[in-house]
Amino acid sequence: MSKGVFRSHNKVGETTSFQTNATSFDPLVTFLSGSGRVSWDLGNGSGYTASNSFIHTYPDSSTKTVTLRTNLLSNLNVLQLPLDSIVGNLDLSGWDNLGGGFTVHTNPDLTGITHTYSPQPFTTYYAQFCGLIGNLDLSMFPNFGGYFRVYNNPLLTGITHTASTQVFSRYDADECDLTGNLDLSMLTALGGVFDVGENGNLTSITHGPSSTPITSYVAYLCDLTGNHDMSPLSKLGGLINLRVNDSLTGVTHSPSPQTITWYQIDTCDLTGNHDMTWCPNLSGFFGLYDNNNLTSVTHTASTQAFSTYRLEGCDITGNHDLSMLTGLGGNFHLQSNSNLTDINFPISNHEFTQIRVEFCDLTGELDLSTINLTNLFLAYVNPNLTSISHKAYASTATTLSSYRVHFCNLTGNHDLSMFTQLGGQFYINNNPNLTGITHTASTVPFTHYSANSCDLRSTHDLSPLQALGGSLLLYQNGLLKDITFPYTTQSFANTGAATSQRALSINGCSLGFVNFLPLSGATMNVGAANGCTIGLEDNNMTSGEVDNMLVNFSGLSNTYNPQGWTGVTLDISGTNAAPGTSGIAAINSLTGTPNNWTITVT
Amino acid sequence: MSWRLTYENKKVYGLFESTGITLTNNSLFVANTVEECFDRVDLLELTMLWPSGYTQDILFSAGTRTLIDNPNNLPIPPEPTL
Repeated sequence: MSKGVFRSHNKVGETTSFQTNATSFDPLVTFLSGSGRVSWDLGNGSGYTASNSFIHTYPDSSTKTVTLRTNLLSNLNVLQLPLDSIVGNLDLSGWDNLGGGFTVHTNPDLTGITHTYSPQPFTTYYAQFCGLIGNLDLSMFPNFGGYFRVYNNPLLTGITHTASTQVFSRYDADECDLTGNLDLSMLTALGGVFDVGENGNLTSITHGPSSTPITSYVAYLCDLTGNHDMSPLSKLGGLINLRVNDSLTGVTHSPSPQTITWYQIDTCDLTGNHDMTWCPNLSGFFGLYDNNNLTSVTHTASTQAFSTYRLEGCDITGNHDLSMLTGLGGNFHLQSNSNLTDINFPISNHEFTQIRVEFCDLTGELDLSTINLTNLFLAYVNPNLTSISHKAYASTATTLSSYRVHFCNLTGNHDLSMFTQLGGQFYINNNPNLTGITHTASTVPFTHYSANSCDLRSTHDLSPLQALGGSLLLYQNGLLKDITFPYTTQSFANTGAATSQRALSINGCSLGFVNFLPLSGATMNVGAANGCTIGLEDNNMTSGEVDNMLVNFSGLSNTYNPQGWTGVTLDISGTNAAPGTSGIAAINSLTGTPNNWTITVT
Repeated sequence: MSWRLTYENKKVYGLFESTGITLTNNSLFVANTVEECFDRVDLLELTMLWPSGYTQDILFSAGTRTLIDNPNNLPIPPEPTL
């Protein structure tokens, strides 16, 4: 591994030596100009091989010393030794016109490369998947650029550059051990793909001014600390990913005309406001979630389409204004911001497939009247949320399969008449001032409907929900007097053994006689893991009303749908009156064979 | 007021508190406290789900109790990141 002057017989010139334990060795060199030729002593006693490019097969993987000989190393430009099992340091002293496509990648025992000054430009510098140790000194290349790839050198702790105006198309130094600051301030045409991710000891990166477009900038899973200044990069675009830098408190940008398709700085320590007004073409994926001290994000107008917008688990405070992002849609997550009181949504024709704003402090009205809502809407546990306005929306193409606004303070009637595809999971329970819910016709199957512990009054009309099923919880609505059931053919079953897990739980209301016959097409799935129970206790029913209910059930079990209504458990006790004669007759029938009901009465 | 446990063939049909009269062809266990009913479920190695907090259930099975997530209350998993 040395450069020396060789003078013996006709073997006059300069040499470069290095070690290899390859079994297959295929080097390549090219001259800066002309048609010179080099000779190789392959270190196995086979004499000299005169060729600029060849393949040699060794009988074993023992370590050999290879010597390259040429008249002047200065005449050489390109060296390629990929996958050649180079061992130790590669000393390229004397190669003072090195450049072009320099390739020594995938030499896991290559621990260092010694360069000398060269004015030549580089198209590639590939030394990835090696075993480089310590600092890689490239400060002798004033025209360095092109495709620079040294990723996956786990012991590489630093890279030293000198000033260069050459364009970089790639700078890949990820999965190394870059430590402290990476000084790139002298590279004034950094562009293309930049990746220094997964350098757990990299605390900062210094950039010089560059107007070369950047299409990808990745520095995730590092240790970037304090503010990261990206403002020298004036054409930042494409993908930006700085996620999981625990001590990163801010990122500074300068205005860029490029389109951002992915912007992700989650799980850091972004603090205060994060300014995105530099980016008029924000689109695609935007994620700053899990920054516990991030209190606001400011945007400028963008008409680009979004697939995801995630700010959950931060400390977004007050009103979050998104009215300028008219392409907003897709997945929208702002949940778990306990000081978030309002969101200004844009006028957008894009569909929101997920809106998650649960566990915030949304206050007063949440205005969703300018957006299209499908699939999933979660706004539960917003104790000051009093109303939600939805867009008059006639689409039948997509299903709203999870609508959960429980534990809020919805007040008065909640109008859902615009949702013709409502189904799946519907939770609106524990809104103590909610007096009514308006539905429109939907044939989408329900798996759960809970509106218990509200203030539903008079008659609750469920007849539009033609595929109601699963479990229905309407208990603890003290002024609820009647229910209009739909003609559903779905199944009902308990989700557990507790009263709050019953198939139909309508206790603690003011029900009189409720006609269950529309449910004659339904199946009470007694065979399900937790059985099937109807809870009607504590409704202050008169004896006559209890009798009518029991006769109603007897009709279902004996006449209208014996197969679907046998074996049901019914509790009609509590504050209800004891059954009268007709009720007792119905009980005898229901609890006998073949109906096999279990009934608890007063 | 007493707790009623109705069960048959290792399966629990209901566990509830009432002052009323329960009529059933299934097995019926009446107790003063819900814990007595839990113990009965364990003793008879019945299978039962019982709510525990907001997002979990207790699964009684073969005489043991295990906390399990309630899929109705689980948060939606986030999408994968780069």
